Amino acid sequence: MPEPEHELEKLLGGFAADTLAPEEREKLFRAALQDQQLFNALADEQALKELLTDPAVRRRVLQSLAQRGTGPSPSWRDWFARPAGLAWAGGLAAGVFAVIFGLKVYQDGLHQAAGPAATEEVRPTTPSPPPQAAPPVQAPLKDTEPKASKSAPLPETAAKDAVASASNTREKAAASRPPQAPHSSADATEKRESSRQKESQKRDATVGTLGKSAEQPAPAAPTSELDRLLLAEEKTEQPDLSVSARALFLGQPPASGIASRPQGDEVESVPKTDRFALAQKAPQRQPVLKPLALRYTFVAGEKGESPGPVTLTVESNQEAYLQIWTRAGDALPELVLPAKETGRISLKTVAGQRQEIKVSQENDRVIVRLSRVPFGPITRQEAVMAGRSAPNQVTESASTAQEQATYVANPDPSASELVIEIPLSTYPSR
Amino acid sequence: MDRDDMLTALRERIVAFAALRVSRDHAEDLAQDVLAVLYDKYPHVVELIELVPLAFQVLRYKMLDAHRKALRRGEYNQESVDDLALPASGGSPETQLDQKQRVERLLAAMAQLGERCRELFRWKMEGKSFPEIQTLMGQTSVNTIYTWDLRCRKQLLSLMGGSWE
Repeated sequence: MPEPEHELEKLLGGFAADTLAPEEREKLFRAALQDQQLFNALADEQALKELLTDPAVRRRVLQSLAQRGTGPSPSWRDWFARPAGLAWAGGLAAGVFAVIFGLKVYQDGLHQAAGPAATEEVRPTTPSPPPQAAPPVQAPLKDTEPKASKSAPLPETAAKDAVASASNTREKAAASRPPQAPHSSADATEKRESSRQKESQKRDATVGTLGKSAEQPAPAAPTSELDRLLLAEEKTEQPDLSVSARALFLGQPPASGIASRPQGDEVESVPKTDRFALAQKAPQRQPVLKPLALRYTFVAGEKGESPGPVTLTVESNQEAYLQIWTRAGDALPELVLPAKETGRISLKTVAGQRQEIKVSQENDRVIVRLSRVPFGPITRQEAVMAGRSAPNQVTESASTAQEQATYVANPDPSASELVIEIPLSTYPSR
Repeated sequence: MDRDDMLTALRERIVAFAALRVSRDHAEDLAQDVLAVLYDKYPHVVELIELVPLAFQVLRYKMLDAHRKALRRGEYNQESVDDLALPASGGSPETQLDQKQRVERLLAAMAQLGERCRELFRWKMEGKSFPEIQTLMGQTSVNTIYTWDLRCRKQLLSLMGGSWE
């Protein structure tokens, strides 16, 4: 009976090492005479057999085998070569992947759950769209108060119902907070409005003391909360003409409520508003910027002399970057400060530092640009557009015995640039 | 199976084996040379377990001889006979160098084997049979040892470049 091929192949291993038993040898050689492939394999093994027959070679091989393997971590490679090792590695990798994926899904779920809550807190602070009729407006606003939450649901949309229910849930969660903390954003809105009214009254008083633009009639008291919100929004959009440019430049308390309020007041107001809403925290943490302002004066040549250059002196109220352009007629503006020779396009100046420049009277306009950040490179065509003043800038000329200067300021502290276009034909001459 | 039957079978296998490496005519000549040696020099070898390994050994020598002759005759690179050195009576330096290089390759390949293969080869080099190795390696079946040996030899052959030569 012929031996299975795989059985004979196993015996092949003992041929070269000459470790086969006589029965195995006879079985192997008899099969080799019948099987060409086995014969070829044995003939190939003859080279190794011959090598291992030499006692010296055999001894060296034994010594080599007795030493430790020099391969790169063979046990580790063997472990991975086994099916069980591969299965373990695959299972471990799948487990790690599942944990990471699960954590990501969980975090996404948390983010989604936190999203609507954040929206709720902001929603009461933003003015709602104008209602169709005045009377129904006040009722929903009052209904948003938690005191009335047990009453009938809001007649708005289902989303507002969800907001109200979520707000109640948040109230329950915040039950452990100090008792002085407000219980709803509606309360916060009420308190913010009252504080705004107080600030507005203070501002009016300040304007009165300055004696400028006090003739403007104070706006009528808002009849409803919505009206107050709309009025407050309009105030922020329109320039406050009651602001004194000189006061802004000198750092005096400005008339505008949004203008440079002293730092101490800001710090004191934080605890008050901090209790109202979390959404109010972020803007109040931002540093209060000083409104950009500058003062400029012109000094012309002596009277009777031919029109010569005019000396322009510019001084900023804070550390800023300055550019002065001149323009003649419809020609493109030309940068005169910093000078071309310096190779720079922004001149850094600090508060109180006066920059003087002589301007030829051939030019009919001077454009002064003051910025909190260095100017970027622009073309002369772009400088035409960049030389336009902002609509809410205020200008004030001071002509006293001590000084004769013009103050320009932007009451909005968030404004990053101040641009003044000065016609040279109207400059004051001594 | 008597000796003549064994030699007949051997001739057929030798021709087929040699034909894979040299031309058919050369393979016939090689088989004839091997059988001539077995007839003339080893007439007393009649046992299968002795005759077949002897045939493998003679076949290998004859093939190496044929290779050397072809080299000497300039079949691979045409050189003047006058430039070739006379063969020494003992092992030529080329043969010694060839064997030395083969041993070095074998040792380097064995050093890269896994621990199990090294242990298995060590037992084999010490002359242990497969059933003895089975006991020494603590295996319940000798087939496990056969399988390991087969894989280890394949790995060793691969590490040596696919040939024992």
